[in-house]
Amino acid sequence: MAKRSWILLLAAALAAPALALDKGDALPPLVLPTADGTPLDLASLRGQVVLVDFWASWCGPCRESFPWFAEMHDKLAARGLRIVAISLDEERKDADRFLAMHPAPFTVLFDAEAISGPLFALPAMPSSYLVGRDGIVRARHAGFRAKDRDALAAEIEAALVEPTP
Amino acid sequence: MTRARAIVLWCAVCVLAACATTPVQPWQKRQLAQRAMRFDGGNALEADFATQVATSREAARGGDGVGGGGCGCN
Repeated sequence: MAKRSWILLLAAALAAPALALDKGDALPPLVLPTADGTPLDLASLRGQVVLVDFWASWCGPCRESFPWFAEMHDKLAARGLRIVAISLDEERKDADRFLAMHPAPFTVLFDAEAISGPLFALPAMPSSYLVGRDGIVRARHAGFRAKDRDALAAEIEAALVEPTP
Repeated sequence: MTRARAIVLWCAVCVLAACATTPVQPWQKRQLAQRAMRFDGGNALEADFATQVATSREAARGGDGVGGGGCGCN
């Protein structure tokens, strides 16, 4: 009895929140509307290297990330890189104002209900996930710092040269 | 452990668990990310001025920083 009690107590104390999505996990199913309201299913992007980025208009580093994403998109879209930036703004007009200031030539989805927040267990804003052609997460980045760019670019390059499954 | 003690312990654990707040998730920080939510209100000039006044009033000029040479041992 005593031993079992302690084990139960320990289990209660250690009960951790849901594990965050990380390297090696499959991209969870997610369907969100694009700017014109057409739904896009992330699963339909299988076969492309997908960079899923979660942002919001009030997030400082997101402002810095967009020009870089735009640059990567222009450079690598032809080779199969698909950048999907998911807005977690509650107000669409906030997101639209941000997009007017920071042009996004890549795909932007709108998640006003923040369903992707708990789904990915986002560790920070912004968070980005690099997904290989097989739909498996290759890398996860919390935040966006200038010094991370080279590492992320290298990871994208590595995912692009992988053979198509 | 007697049954009574086990029950008391379990109650204690449940009460402690009730203390835990649901942390604000990163994607819910829209209001918290606003400039006005900073201690200095996002106004650097005003913050410098307030620090200057506070340290001179407290006779602690330079007392707003961290002592030592950055070794983290002070």
